[in-house]
Amino acid sequence: MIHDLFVAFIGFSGGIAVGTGFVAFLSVIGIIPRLTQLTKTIKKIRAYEFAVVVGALFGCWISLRDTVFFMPRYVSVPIGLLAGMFIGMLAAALTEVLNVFPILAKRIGIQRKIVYLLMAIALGKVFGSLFHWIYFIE
Amino acid sequence: MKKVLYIKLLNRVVVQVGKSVRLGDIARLQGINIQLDDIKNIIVHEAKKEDGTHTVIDILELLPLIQSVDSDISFELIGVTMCILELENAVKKENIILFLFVWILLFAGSSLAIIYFHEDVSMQQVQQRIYFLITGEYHHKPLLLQVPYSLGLGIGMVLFFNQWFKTRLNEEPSPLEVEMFQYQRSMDEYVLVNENKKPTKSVNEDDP
Repeated sequence: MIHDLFVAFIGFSGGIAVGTGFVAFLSVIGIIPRLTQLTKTIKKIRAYEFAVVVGALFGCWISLRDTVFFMPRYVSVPIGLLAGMFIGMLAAALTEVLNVFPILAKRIGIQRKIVYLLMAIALGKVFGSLFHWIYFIE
Repeated sequence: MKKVLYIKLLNRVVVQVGKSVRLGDIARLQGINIQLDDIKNIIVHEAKKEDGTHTVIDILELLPLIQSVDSDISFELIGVTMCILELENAVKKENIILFLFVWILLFAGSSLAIIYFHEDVSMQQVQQRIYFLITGEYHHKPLLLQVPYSLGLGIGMVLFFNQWFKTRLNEEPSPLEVEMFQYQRSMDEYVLVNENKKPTKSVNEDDP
């Protein structure tokens, strides 16, 4: 009995640590503000918070349990697309990328062509990802 | 009649080497009982090559110059007290080979970086697992999930930067433009502080 309580307590504290860390990570990255800015839905920010929390709980459940949905294969297409978009925004939002660009553009004096450099990064990510999944893995 | 001149210095002005800079170029002026044209034409600086990349014009250097045109003007200063002159060589050529090199560098680097990332977080196993729990069948290479994922990666980045080549998706400034603005502003601040100590020598290592 005491043993069980102890294990539950450890699990609970671990969950709190990971949960707060996850929220801190999301806030630092700033994807949600960017999305509300793009869609002009600042007022719905509570709903987005809720979506993140529910999403995290859902992911937690399906990764720790052996739930299987037995849906048709093509359901994985929109899921893959959404997952990719999220990771894409995450990669774009990493401050390293944002910090490097102004310096790079100044150094080689191509401030007007900076859009093409952005496209180089975006297309490079798509290419690298496809290459990884299709050829890199045996 | 009291003569008042309102001066608002601009933050930064780009000038060509060999041109003389007039007061009208670096400040917005408004006056009461004043011939503004004479004052606007006061030459405040000659842009020379020896100036380096940046020169700072202090408002205190300007006041005697204005006073020499008309000695009973009183001044009202609005905004900043220093203006940065950025010197630009008349012929500024863009190096296409350098640009292509950087383009390929970024392309190759970011594709490698995403492969590292996928391996680092064991994306393959996770996606096999996700594919399994959606469909109930195991697939070693669940490309039906992974190809849309890869395309979404690009879409997400474009959405974040709010730009698809030259076309803007939205009126708002993109995070990159904000970042460029902030970088420029920190540079300006640095120049303001450091150029003032050594007015003739450039301390900026950024010379092209």
